[in-house]
Amino acid sequence: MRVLLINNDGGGFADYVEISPNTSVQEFFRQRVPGRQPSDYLIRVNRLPVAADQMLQEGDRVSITPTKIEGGR
Amino acid sequence: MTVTHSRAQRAAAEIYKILANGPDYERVPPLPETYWNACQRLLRMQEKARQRGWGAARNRVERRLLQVVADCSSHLHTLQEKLIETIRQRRLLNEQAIADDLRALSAEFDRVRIDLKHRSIAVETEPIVLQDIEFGRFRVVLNWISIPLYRAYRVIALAPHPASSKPDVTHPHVQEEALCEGDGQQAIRDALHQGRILDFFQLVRQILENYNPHNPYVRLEDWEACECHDCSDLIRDEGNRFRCASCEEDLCDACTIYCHDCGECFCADHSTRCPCCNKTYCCDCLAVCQQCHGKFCKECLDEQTCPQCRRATDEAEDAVDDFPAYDADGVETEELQTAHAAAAV
Ligand SMILES: [Zn+2]
Ligand SMILES: [Zn+2]
Ligand SMILES: [Zn+2]
Ligand SMILES: [Zn+2]
Ligand SMILES: [Zn+2]
Repeated sequence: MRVLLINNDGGGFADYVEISPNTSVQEFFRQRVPGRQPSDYLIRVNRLPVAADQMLQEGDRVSITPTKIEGGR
Repeated sequence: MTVTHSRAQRAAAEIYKILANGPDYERVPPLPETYWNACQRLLRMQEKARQRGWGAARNRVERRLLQVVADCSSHLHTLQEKLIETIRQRRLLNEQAIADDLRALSAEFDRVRIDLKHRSIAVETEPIVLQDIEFGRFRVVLNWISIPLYRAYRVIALAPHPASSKPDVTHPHVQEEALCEGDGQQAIRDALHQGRILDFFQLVRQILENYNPHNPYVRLEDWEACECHDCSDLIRDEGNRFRCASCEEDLCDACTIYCHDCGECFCADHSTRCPCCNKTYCCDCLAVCQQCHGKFCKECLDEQTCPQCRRATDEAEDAVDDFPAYDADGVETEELQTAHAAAAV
């Protein structure tokens, strides 16, 4: 099944990605942002905060935004 | 404050319309036709030179051709990059998705306001505290009409606590209401151009909630430090901070000038040296010599005359005293006659 992934980390990225059914939010995060801590990101499904074990549904919109973004001058 | 359905819908329709046109810089540059035509002409010349056995001409033409081919391909390369970038960015949300984003703002932010008249969306952050320094809440105002342009949003401190040295710096990464996006620049640009308004506001908030010690407008440890008016150094220690008694600007220890008369501190503009004793004074404590009109300290002036002018006067008087003026018969002495003759010259 397909979900829309919006990754606001670094260069940014927004596209539909194929996932297997019964993928939890946490699992999805691990696949897509390997080696990173979920606590360092705002994860929203269909624009709302969700529990880590929530299962993703076909057509869900998942956005991942880092909590620590460094500004400049 | 929740965003009403109809307001979100109307704003989304406008935002969609603006973004669908795309920003000007997204226009793909024209094909490098001129270079292409030049290549073709040079190829014909090269062939002609080859057929006629003109070795030198052929070399010249080929070198020129190489240059034009390089120019042509560099243009094509730029065009290719531009297209990749444009395609990447143009994943524009549809009108409904933009409206959903706008409605979802209320779940993320305290005060959300969509102003249809001014075509702006404003949200407020929580109070921002970085390393125990309080910066208060910020209002982020996005003018959607400006999204295709350079600076579409402002970051306004609601209870400003600016850096002492720079009143327009209200956050280590905000100057004159503009956020320096740093690492978030590309993500913010993409979010705006794709109509992901919720992501945009989240990204801005996350930058405001963080501090990058390597590249701030003013470092947090210097937040309360003021700038020396004369040398622009930051005065970090309160004990090294002085103030010009005349213009009230802050001065560092090294730039503070002490007046030897009134005992106050002054900046370089409001102090000077007495040309006679070379001590420092403020401009008000010097007085004018009545003869040369130069400015001197009161200690160096005697009866409103500077030492040099006094010396000149004394010497002139002494010269007159030295001459025996008249002889016993009341006739001018020879010396006096000579002196008068010299004076006349
Ligand atoms: Zn100074
Ligand atoms: Zn001054
Ligand atoms: Zn003085
Ligand atoms: Zn003096
Ligand atoms: Zn004088």
